[in-house]
Amino acid sequence: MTSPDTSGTEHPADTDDGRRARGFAVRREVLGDAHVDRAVAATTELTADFQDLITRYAWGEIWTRPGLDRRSRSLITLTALVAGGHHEELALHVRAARRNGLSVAEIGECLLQCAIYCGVPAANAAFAVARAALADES
Amino acid sequence: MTERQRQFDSGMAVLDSIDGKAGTAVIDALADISPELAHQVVAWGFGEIYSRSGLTPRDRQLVTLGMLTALGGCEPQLDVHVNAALNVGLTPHQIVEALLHTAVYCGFPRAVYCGFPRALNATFAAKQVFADRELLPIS
Repeated sequence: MTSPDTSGTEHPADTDDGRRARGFAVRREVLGDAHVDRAVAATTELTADFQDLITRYAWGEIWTRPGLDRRSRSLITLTALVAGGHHEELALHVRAARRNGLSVAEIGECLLQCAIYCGVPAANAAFAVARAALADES
Repeated sequence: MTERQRQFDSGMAVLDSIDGKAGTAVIDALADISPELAHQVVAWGFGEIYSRSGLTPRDRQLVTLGMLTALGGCEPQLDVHVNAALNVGLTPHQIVEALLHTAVYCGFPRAVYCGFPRALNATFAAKQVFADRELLPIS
């Protein structure tokens, strides 16, 4: 059976190695070299396959798709993380959102909107995480 | 006019402009069970939050689609907000792409397969809206 991919854009290097290389490049652009270097250095036998999956799937396969720009992808990522209560990832992606062109005010608007869907406690926790993440940045 | 009424009117104007009939139907459906919940959704959700100028209506629908998908079990709300997303200028292709992106973050910190069921449910909710608006197959 042929893959029902409809993205319409065949990457020239659409092999696992190609995805890995693309994934690392985007991951570095969005999360910053310092974070990716730390993640690579911290990789152990236990986490190696997971690190590789993140690079190939989340970054190499999804973040590189053409249908949405990175700023839009950051908005979706922030809210999905708040809804799921994934605060460690949220700090990372608040800093990534700045790199992808969202202003501090826009990040605040996004978290404010979370209050009506995820509840005030979820938004309260998210604002605390974002404030700390942005303080680290400056 | 009371402040309560002013906030409600302002919310209804925003609700009408974004959600159209689907939004009004939700408010009407609450009339005989919890009109106060209808008031809260309109006055606070729309009068207070959606009316803010800091993000475009398009960005706000992306934010909401991401949350509703990640929360899970929000298919009735996705029906309203996929319609809203189309109303404010997102294309079916962009909506589907947003739900695909969400799959990564609904479950990734735990396990990859936690993400797909929610993205699948959200995508089928979107498919129903596209079908109702004769937008299938999407290009």
